[in-house]
Amino acid sequence: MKIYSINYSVIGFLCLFFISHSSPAGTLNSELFGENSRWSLDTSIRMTRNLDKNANAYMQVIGLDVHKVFSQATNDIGTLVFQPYIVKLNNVKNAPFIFDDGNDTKLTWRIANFNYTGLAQGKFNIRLGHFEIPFGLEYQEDTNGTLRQLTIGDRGIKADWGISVNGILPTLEYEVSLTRGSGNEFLSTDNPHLFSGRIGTPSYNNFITGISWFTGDVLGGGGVTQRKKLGFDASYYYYQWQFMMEISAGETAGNKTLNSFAEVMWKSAQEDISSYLQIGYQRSENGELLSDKETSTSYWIAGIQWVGHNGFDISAQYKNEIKDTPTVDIEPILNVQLRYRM
Amino acid sequence: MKVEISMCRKLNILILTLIVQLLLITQVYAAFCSLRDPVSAIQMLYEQGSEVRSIVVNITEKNRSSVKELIPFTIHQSEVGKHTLYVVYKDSEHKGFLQARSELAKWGLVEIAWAINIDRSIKGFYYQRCRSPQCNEPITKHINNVIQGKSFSQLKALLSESGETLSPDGIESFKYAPTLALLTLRSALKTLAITDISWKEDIEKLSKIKGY
Repeated sequence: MKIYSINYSVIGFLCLFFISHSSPAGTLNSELFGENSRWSLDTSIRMTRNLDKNANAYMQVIGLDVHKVFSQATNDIGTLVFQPYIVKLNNVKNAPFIFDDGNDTKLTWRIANFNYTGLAQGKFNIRLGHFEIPFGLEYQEDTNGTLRQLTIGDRGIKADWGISVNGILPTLEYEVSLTRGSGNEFLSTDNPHLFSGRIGTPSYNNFITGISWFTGDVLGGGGVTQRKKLGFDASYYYYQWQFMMEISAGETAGNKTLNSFAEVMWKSAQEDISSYLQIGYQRSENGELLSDKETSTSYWIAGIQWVGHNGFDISAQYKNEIKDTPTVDIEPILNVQLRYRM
Repeated sequence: MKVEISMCRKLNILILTLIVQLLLITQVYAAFCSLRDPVSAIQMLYEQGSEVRSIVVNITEKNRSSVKELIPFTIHQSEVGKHTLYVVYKDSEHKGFLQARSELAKWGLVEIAWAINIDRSIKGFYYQRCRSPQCNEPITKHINNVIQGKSFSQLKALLSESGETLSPDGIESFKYAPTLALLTLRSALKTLAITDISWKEDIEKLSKIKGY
């Protein structure tokens, strides 16, 4: 069974490879989507191994990545980013709730929005569609499709359908959004909603800070959960080193929570190899009093990624507990991913 | 059973062939959601209220070779592909161009936003991303002062014949942070060269528009 699932991925890879090589040079970069457009096919195979249970799970992904700038005579009007991805799971335990089971195949949306930039030279834009929730470090870093994730687990939602205002001013950058709270699916019977935002110092600096908020109902596997968060993040870049931290406090389903996260990353001079170490700490208090059933968990993650000048990247990551609880079990997980963009 | 083993072996050979071939292809991609408009660059390098109009072209291997005919080095192979030249306007009047380039430094990539005048002399630059503390305001100002207003040939005169070091004039001009100045100067020359080569038709069309 496992051999067949790997073969399925390999066949997919081969098909894409031969499509790209049987096409005349430049076809993939042709103006299929009109002037000022880019598009790419993105495919990956990910293996997840639970080292306690000796169980493997697989995820195969193929998607389209389109970027198009709409312009008029003397200015750009807006940017469309459109990224539908088909995701196939094999043997996944506790599959994300949007999947029917651990062997399901689903159309998912990474980013799919139009950012109207024609109002105030980028200082005030309006975004409509499916976009990343503006909160903390995750908002600043592009972690779509990579093993490396930052603090998404704290909030239970990475991207959502909705509307935002965003912009870049000389001394700060911001995005404030009102979204559906349902993640991948736009329609939801539970009618969740989410109000979030981040205001930060300019991202071209080597020291960046930001404050974020996140309040509303988030749709998950068990239905809607009320979440509130206030966060602070900071990043510092020094030659080939990157140091990041985020701390947030709030409530999840009426329970007080505190989350903190830190990462150290090193990149080679050509930035084709990167390695990172992450540490996360979460504390939850059930009830009104601080002493009521306080639980805390912590974990560490080490990862490495190689990105070739050929659209090909290989990454691996290992996660394990520092401290867990009888109710929150952090299992040792090894991930390996092969990704190719053409 | 034998047939299955034989199939598996063939499949393994195919996988190996695929991996080897993939490693030989030369294109680089980041997800397009990570592309950013050069809003800060416009705010820093042009008058308030300036707007940009994107022109995306495909930079080819041929373009890359053409750069080498003008200067003793060329753009990195990974830069072959789609790139954007921003045409800058103020009150619907053409003011210049803007282009961002990434350069390899020993501490990582340095991303430089280049403001180019209509006559293709350098208006100015700023480091959009530079992880060295050396890319500070005084050093940036010093390098900007030397480079501003210079044409392609004037900038070329600041480099040695091999393009690997500064010329005596260059050494005299860049008294502080000469290594960073060399990297920036090489970037300026590549930017001007590739702009004239890859966006030639678009620039010619623009020059025919009234008010250019």
